[in-house]
Amino acid sequence: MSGAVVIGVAFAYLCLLFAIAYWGDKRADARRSLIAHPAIYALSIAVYCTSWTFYGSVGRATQTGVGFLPIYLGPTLMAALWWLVLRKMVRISKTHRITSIADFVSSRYGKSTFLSGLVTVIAVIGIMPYISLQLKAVSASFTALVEFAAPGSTPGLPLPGADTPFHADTALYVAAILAAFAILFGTRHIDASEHHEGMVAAIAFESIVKLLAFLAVGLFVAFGLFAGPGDIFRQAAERADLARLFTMPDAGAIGDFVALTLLSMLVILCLPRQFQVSVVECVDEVHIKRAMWMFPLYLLLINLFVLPIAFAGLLTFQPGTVHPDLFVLALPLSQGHQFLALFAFIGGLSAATGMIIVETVALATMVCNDLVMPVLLRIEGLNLAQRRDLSRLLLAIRRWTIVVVVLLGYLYVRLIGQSFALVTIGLVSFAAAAQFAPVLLGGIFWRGATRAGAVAGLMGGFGVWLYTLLLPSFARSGWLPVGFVDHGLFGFALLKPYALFGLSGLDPITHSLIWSLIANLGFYIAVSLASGQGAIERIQAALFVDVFRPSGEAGGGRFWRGTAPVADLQELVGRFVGEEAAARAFALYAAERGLDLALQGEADADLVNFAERILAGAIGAASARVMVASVAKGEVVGLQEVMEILDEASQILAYSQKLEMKSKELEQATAELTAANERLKELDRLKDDFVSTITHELRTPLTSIRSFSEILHDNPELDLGQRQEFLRIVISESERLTRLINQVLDLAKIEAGSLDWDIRTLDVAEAVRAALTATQRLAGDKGVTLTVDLEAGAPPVPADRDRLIQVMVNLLSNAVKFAPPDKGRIAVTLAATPEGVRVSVADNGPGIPADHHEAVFDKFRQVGDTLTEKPEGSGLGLAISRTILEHLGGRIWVESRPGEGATFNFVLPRAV
Amino acid sequence: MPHRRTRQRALRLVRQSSVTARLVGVFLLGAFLFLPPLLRVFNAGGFLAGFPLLYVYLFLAWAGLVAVMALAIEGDPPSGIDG
Repeated sequence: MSGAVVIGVAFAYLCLLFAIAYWGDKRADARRSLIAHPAIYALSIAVYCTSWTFYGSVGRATQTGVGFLPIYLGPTLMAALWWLVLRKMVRISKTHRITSIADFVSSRYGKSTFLSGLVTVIAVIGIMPYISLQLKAVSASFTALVEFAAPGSTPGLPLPGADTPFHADTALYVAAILAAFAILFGTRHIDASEHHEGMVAAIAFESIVKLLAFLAVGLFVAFGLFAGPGDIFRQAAERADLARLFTMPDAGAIGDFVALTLLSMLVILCLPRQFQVSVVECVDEVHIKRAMWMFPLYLLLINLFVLPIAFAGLLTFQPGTVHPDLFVLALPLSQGHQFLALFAFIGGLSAATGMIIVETVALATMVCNDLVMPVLLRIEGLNLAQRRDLSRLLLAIRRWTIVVVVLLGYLYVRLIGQSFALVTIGLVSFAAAAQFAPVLLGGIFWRGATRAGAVAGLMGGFGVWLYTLLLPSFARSGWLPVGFVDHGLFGFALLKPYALFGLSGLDPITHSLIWSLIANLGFYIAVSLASGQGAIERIQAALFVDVFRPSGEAGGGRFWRGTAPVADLQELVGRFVGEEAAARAFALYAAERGLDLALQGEADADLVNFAERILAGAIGAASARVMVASVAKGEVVGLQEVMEILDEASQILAYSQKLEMKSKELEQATAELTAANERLKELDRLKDDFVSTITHELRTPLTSIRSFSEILHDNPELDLGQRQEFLRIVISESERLTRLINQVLDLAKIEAGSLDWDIRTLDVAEAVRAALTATQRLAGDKGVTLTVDLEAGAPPVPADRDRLIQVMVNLLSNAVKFAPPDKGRIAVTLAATPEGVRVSVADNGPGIPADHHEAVFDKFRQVGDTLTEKPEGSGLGLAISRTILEHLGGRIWVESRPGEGATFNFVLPRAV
Repeated sequence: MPHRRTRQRALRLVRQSSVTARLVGVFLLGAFLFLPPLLRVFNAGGFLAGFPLLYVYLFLAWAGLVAVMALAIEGDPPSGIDG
């Protein structure tokens, strides 16, 4: 097939891809996204399948049988965890406008410029072999297609070597063309959100093409060339040298199998281009769900015919005539199926192009945002921060990066790659990318991981990788003395790069993977544990690890206190993303919050953070930090301050709790005071009543004494009998007055507690008898019959004898007072009860209505119609009795019904 | 009403975590299928329906894993953006 045709078709295909990308970008601008579908997302992740998969897997299978499979089983396994891991990474990236894996890592560890630069350097050096692999595959397949296409002839397919002059080296032209396309695809303009929707659409398309091409070749080989895949294996089984590939030869091979599975599990997350398509370009995290099984299905399909093609190639070609990496192309060619071969070539080109475009765009973003810009911004002489339009500069940096990265890949393939198979070259890159896994996964699940730990881990892992994989490959190609590979550095056998510390018998990749991951993880964890976090680091760690907590989303970090002029901020953002885009973003921000930015003048902390996030989308988190710092007046909130804020908050909380408690106490005190006040008012009223009553009581006998004394004084002629009568009244009234005063004094004393009590255990019956003796005459005078029933053997109780007699006299004189003259009967009984000793005094007087049973014990209360009859006594007797009994621990009550007499009872409790 | 909303959210949380649990289960199943113990068993040589046993095993296990994964994910009815 003529070179012109092949080149023409290849160009046409690349232009088709570009057209799709262009269309995708237009649709994105019109907000009718072409890629908002889970299948497109899954297909874009299939950029994982490069020409390594397309050509290299077959080559690998011819050497190790199933040894090519772990590279696809690992991602299948990891896909099961995407809902846990990838979704978190996507959410974090959306929240913080992450643009690359370097950005992600640096953001997580305190927006460290150094760390982002380190990740970028590792990525560029580590990915270099991977890009060289694509260049080698495309140029070799092109050469094969053009030069060895005579029908029936057996293509020899020698690969172009280092002796080929540069101008005749196909790989150089391939590199140039692919670099140009990568520039076209990825760096036509600066997008504030760093989305390349057109590129993703094109990648999804090329994923379909490479799958169809590979399946077409597979079907042709299996069913056109042979009678089905079973036939291939049957024929292979007859040859001992092929049948050995049916199983893994030894434990070492199984170990490699496991190691490579682990490796590919990690790189599906960590390769810069996989991060680009699956995290940065993810338009909706829900798409992850479906991609979780669609992507593994894609891997399964594209690998279905790898083994049949490998064995078919081995059966068809003499050993050494065709490089197994090119069987996919050579088998159709050998049968004269030129168009199928051309389709296969396009499939391989497709795979390589997709990889180079996404990878270089991802690397360009990283180099620009995380390596070059931070350095340029720090060079004072350049005064970059003051330049009007920086978006051109950004684009220029990115374009040159693509050129340099592809050129590095070309140099690698020309200088070193010739002596290695495709898969071996690719695995070197895989091992480099795997170094990002600890800082990446640790960063989103382990809050305590520190910047120092990340730096140490990355450097340790990368250093081991350099020493055990990259440098030996230079040595074996003759660019470094080979001595250190064979005998160890400085002749120390323990330092042999392929058998470090005596660990031998492993595949170099497995060997390097083990040591580099041990170094990486070891330093990462140990240094993280030993070092502390700064303020921003700590906040970022929390934001990353807790991204699914509601506060984590909204926060975005309140690093800036203080303000910046709105105009300055907008101008700053405009310089990087274009004035129009900046104006749009700010207008949208204002509209969402209902603000008028023109009126605001000074931007608040939220707006400053918003501006920083937009900038981060264009130039990376670390650079955005530096830029915003140049216009924002506030300082970064220090850890001390964060702590103080927390402290203040907790103090305020404590204060408010105290206040609440105080106010409750106050309320209680107020209630108590109110009650006391009520009681005081009541007492005051009682006192007034008492005073007025007692004055009245005192005045009555005084008036009578005074009247009779005046009569005696004014009428000396009164006869003796009358004089005697009047004097008797005066004496009796005086006695009443004395008694009244005594009782008032008694009551006052008892109530004040100043009365002297002589309490001893005594026989109540004896006291009752004494009282009866004292009142017998009174009863006799009135003609009242007394019946006494004192139970013998009542227990003695503690009491004051005189007071007890006073109570009894009170009760008895009351009874006599109310008993009807001559027909009156009074019964006094004493009985022992479980409570103590009960004494009752019953009369047959008028009785007391039920509603007065309590009131009779009040001071000066005299029950009865005070108008018709004037009861004798002070009205203090019962009040005094009750006070005495209460003091002695007993009680007094009355049982009565009007017309049936009244019974006064009291109880004195037994001694305790 | 707020009460019902909390309950809905609780239900959703339960279901979501069960999806995660199922997927972790799928991962463990896959790890079990592709790790040495089983790998050794099927590495014994021999043929199944004319194909080398190891090849048949790996591809069937792989296909089965993808199918289980699809079931675990799609078996969960999509519910708006959360689905």
